[in-house]
Amino acid sequence: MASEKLFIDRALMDKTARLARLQLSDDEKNMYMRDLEKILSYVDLLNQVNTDGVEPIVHGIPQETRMREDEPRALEDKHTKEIVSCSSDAIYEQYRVPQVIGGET
Amino acid sequence: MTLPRHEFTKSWEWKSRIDAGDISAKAVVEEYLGRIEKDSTNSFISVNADAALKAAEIYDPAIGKAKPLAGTPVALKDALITKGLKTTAGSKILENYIPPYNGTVVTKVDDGGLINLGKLNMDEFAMGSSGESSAFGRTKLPQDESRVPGGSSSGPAAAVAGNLSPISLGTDTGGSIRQPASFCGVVGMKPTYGRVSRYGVVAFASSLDQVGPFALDSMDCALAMETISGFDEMDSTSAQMRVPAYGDAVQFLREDAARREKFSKSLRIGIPKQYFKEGLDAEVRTSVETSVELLKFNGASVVEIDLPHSEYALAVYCVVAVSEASANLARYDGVRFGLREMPAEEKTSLDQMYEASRGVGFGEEVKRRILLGTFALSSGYYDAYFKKACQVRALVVQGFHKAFKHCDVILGPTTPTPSFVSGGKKDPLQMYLNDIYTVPVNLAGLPALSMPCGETKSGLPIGLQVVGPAFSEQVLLETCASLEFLLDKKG
Amino acid sequence: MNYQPPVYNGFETVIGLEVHAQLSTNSKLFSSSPNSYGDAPNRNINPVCTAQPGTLPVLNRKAVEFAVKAALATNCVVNPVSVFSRKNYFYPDLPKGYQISQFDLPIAEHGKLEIEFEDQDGKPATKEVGITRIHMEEDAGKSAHMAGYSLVDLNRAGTPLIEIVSEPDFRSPFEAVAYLKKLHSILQYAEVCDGNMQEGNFRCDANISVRPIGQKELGTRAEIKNVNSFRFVEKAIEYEIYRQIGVLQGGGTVVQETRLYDSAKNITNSMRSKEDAMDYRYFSEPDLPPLRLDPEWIQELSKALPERADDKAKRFVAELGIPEYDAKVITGDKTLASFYEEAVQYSENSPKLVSNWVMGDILRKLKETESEIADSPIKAADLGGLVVLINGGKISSKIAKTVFEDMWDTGKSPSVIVEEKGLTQVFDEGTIHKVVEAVIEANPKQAEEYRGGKEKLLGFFVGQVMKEMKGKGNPELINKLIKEVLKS
Repeated sequence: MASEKLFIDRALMDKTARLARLQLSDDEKNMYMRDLEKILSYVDLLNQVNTDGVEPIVHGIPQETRMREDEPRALEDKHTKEIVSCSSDAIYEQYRVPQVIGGET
Repeated sequence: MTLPRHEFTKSWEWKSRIDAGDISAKAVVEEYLGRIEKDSTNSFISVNADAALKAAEIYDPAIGKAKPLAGTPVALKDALITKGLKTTAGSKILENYIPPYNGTVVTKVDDGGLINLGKLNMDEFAMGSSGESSAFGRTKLPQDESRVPGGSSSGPAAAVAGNLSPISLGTDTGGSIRQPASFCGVVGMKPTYGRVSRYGVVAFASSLDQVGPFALDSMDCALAMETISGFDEMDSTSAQMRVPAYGDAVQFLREDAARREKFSKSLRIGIPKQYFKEGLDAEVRTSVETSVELLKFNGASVVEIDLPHSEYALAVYCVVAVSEASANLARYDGVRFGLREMPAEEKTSLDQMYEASRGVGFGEEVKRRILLGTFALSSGYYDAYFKKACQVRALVVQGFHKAFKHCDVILGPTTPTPSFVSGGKKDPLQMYLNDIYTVPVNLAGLPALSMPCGETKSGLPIGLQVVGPAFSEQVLLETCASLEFLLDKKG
Repeated sequence: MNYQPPVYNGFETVIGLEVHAQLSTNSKLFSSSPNSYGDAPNRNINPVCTAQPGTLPVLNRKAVEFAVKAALATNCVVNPVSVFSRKNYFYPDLPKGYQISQFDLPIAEHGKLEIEFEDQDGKPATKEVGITRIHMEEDAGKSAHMAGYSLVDLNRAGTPLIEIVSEPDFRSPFEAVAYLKKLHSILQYAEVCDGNMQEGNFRCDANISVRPIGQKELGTRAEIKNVNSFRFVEKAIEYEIYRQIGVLQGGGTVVQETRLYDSAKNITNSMRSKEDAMDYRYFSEPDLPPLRLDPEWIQELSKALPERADDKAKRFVAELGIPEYDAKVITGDKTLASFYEEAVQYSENSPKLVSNWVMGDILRKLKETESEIADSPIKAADLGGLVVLINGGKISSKIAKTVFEDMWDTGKSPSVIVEEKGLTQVFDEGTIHKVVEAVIEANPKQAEEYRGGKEKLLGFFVGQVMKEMKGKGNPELINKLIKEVLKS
């Protein structure tokens, strides 16, 4: 448990921005470093709560996943084309992106 | 008091006039479109004038009679996906996004015969409490344009309070319906998680988001809830529960003094001591306490309750909401829709495209929250932040369960203060603190509404929050109707 | 059968395998788009599988059923409650920016399989290997790499997969391959995966490390991704073992990384640099509450599970009387086993002869043409028919070989070929008698020698008669008549 105050240095900010794929200026990074530290130190309030043996929850109201039947619904070509055309760069009815290097299949 | 509900025509009023043939649906739509054209609050991002007029023109009272709101106008927060109609979520990254499908709520609104006037302004991706973070300019409080209408459903609240639409739909993740409803002096309801489908709602935090209505009074709110609620097979978190006739329930209370009395006398009100601590504006406190006294005077029992972990709820929210958001917003990558930036043109690498598109497309607050969420989930910090928050969330939920053993509804202020001056909250944490009373409800998935319960000396509306157990929307609406009656009588 | 794993220059290897098997459902895992292969790009898509804002996943019951069947068939414990998680990373073929997978609580765990293989000395060996877990997840789309850009097709995005993770129980490439073949067959038998490796329905990642004999701690492992043939898995692992030993013996250290197998050069190459270490930020998927499975449903699925390969092989031995070895080979591929069973049905009760044809000529042909039994031009019923013709004496075994080749080339039924080419055996004594007399007359010297006691020459006469009759004479009759004529 991080009981001492968290220090967000530039390397940690760079790593986080990179994971989130966000291009940030130096000024933005400096601002967000301060903000994150401040917010996270507020969040440190949580360390006052004893959570030993408490199961973490995802939803306030317990639910179960419902399953649907395996019924395929093919869309008309007109509609699938419409979906692809939402892209700012689609050719041959595919999404064009910068070269993927050494990519997975 | 000059709250909007006293000045403006409600939807149920329009409905009876339209179906009686006193006025045409088209004339009603024209009246609102006329006001929207002159709007200075920046409530709308896109106005759906032509389609709305067309729909109103073909509205047939003979067919629409059976549906409680058919033929009346509505406006939608721009987080609700509308096929063929631009949907931006208040973000530059979706500036030109025309969705290829309709969300379930939008389909239900169409099926209910409501006429969509347009898409309403909002904090970008519903991240904000003031309507100031929209990429399309801030929304203004209709009563005082130097102030904020609250957020993130700034447009939906301001549109109803400014008489630009009789009802509207917003979304609420941590207070985004109730807080602006409170600031604008209208009724706003966040339904139980699962009551209204999230399919076709631009996601902020999936375990917290719910769609809900803004209205001028409990009756319109009830009818809107009837229209949008219900099970949806496209949403795995949708509840398979019957939807009560909310409108009838409110109608009965309004028409029948004996029923009103019976309801008040059986109502057990819980007052959480944690909601009346320091930080609460004195005028807000007085208004809320007066409302509670009114109900008590009319027979309701009042007990003080304890919500022991509610003071940690905002910290939980700060972690959970942003963590979910960091994943929910990963799809805005410039590939399949939305803004794409290619800083080095043909030579741009894949990562450069991602980083530039997202860096340019997202605004300051959205980037802040994505960073925070990415960090809270990242290796080495997950247990200390995300897991810990999910554990404390369980304790917050338990607190509500215990409290509802002693009461039917929990009453308290919706927000610590009334609307503030735009630009007044520069510190993000100060902004988040606006949601301190609303956030615990989302964490627990409970239904809650905010209703106007008074005004400050300077004329700013004050909101009262009514919280109930899961799927108790009807009781909340009945409480709202009862209190409306008592407040109106008091004058 | 005391199996000792191989030693490589004083090292042993430790291998774990992760198999991605595509479930043969009709629709995708979380959306109702069709799950089909080979369509034009971006046709099997909808708002959900292209991650349009506001869309949500809804779980396919059939995919869960298939995952449970796969779990039962691999002796796993099915978890009554499992949880979906988001695995976050950016990639153009991953529309949501996260993959819905299972992390903390997978659908099944703690399985095991018995594998049979030939060891390094060619001796048969068996071994039990553990299955750590089976989890469900959605597949990504496909990127085609063009000059200067890539094109993304999302037809495959969201199709259902199970990932089957083994324990690091393998100590040689041949064990690994034996396991993969077994698993492939089991999934086909359970009718949950069609196993087409060319279409990528059954893909394998291998985690490989080496350590000096006697060392307790595991060495650093490298992961080889997405190898899609049994042969390449074996080669890739073998290459990787020697590469790692080479690195260690050269005083270096093995880097934990992902490597890709280049089948053309038979080498593995590093795929990602280590500084770009992945941080997937797994967390529970809030759009999907926990998956709770009704124990009665699992029971039902367990009862309804199709016959397993091992059971089928046992039945073939017991009921059809074919050798155990043949039974294992034939049941190793479910389609082959079905082919065999059908052929037997048409063979008028000659399972052994059918098995000989399948084990011999059919498998040889498949190997020669690098094709699969599903593509065989000879129908199972026709192979059965061929056996009937042989048993009924209509054609000789020798003629049958020619007929078989014709059947393979033309796809025609054996009776049609025999009819068209007039290959029916000659039983008429008069006809054969004439030929025999002619042959003996033409070879007086040999006839004399035979009569003098050189009875070995009978074969010579049979051969000559057969040659004259173009193989169509009934061999027994020929034999009998030659003896009679020479005696007289």
